[in-house]
Amino acid sequence: MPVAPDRPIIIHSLDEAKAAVTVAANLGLPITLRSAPGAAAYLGAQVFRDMIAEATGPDCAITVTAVFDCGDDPGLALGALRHGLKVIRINAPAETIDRIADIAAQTGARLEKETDAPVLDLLESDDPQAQVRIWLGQGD
Amino acid sequence: MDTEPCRLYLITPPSLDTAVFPDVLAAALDGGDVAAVQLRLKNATDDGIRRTAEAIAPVCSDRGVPLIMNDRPDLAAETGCDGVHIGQQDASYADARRAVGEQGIVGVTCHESRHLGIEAAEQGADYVAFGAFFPTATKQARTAAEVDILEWWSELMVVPAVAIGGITTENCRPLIRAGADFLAVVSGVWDHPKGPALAVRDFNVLFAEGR
Repeated sequence: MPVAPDRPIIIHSLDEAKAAVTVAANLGLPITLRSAPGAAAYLGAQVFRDMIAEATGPDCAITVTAVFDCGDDPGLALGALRHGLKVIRINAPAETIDRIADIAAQTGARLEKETDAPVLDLLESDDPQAQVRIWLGQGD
Repeated sequence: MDTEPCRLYLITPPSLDTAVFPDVLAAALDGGDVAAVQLRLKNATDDGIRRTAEAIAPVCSDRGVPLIMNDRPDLAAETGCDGVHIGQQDASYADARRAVGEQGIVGVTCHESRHLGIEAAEQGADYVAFGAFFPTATKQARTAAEVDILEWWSELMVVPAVAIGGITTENCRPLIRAGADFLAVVSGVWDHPKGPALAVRDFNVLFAEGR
């Protein structure tokens, strides 16, 4: 099966995160888990961080990149960095993004650029594992 | 054809932080008219659902917006929700009605089935929900409903119809035109690029344009 280096998956719950990690681990592929757009406003950085930590567990053998979407609120982005999140998305003017990127770099974190690349959204999925398996298998 | 304006039926995000969500919900409800809020948490514990219901109930009641519990008549009754929404695999209509009482709201998911809709209406459901109308770009919905079921329903039936499934400000016009009484929206509000409050506002602008 071809390796999928950049096949991000939007997860909304712990079960979805676990399903995605399980499939990726079975396939031996790295995986990028992304929160819903703007989820920082209602989900909270700590909840997202804990969700990812529980989904991956201490013995996870694959690289899991967790991306927290902070919408257009720089305050939420800074809060996410304070909570130790390492990759965040923020929609803001270039000057603001540069400042946050600088702060992020000082904490070993980084900003992910907005792209139009396809993403799998597991919202209300009946069978997230099957969807993730297909999704990761479609990588180039 | 229904002449009453369509209204927004807001469903909570699948996961949320109870410490911050009440303020976010308040801002969303202040963005414009919302007919009801449904508490639907995927995979949450009963305690988590209870805590969230208790946290958001005042936000809803302060604004005169009914709070509907998803799937769980028992928790709806326990937490004092205004109603309960049940699916075809959840509690029975009778159990739901018993839990929330005659004055409570009972809504029933009917997928794309006219038969299920009629059955629910005859039992006394306060609304029936049809969908999913719009699968997300990468996901196949459990069932695929056609817009004409809303036209058919609104011409024949008095019980309100809720349209659900992948609805956004971009794609909702056909559902409004077809006679949906309510649009049930999740990510179309919470993931809206301009934020939830402006999403609620934008939905209401579309509703005000009429059918």
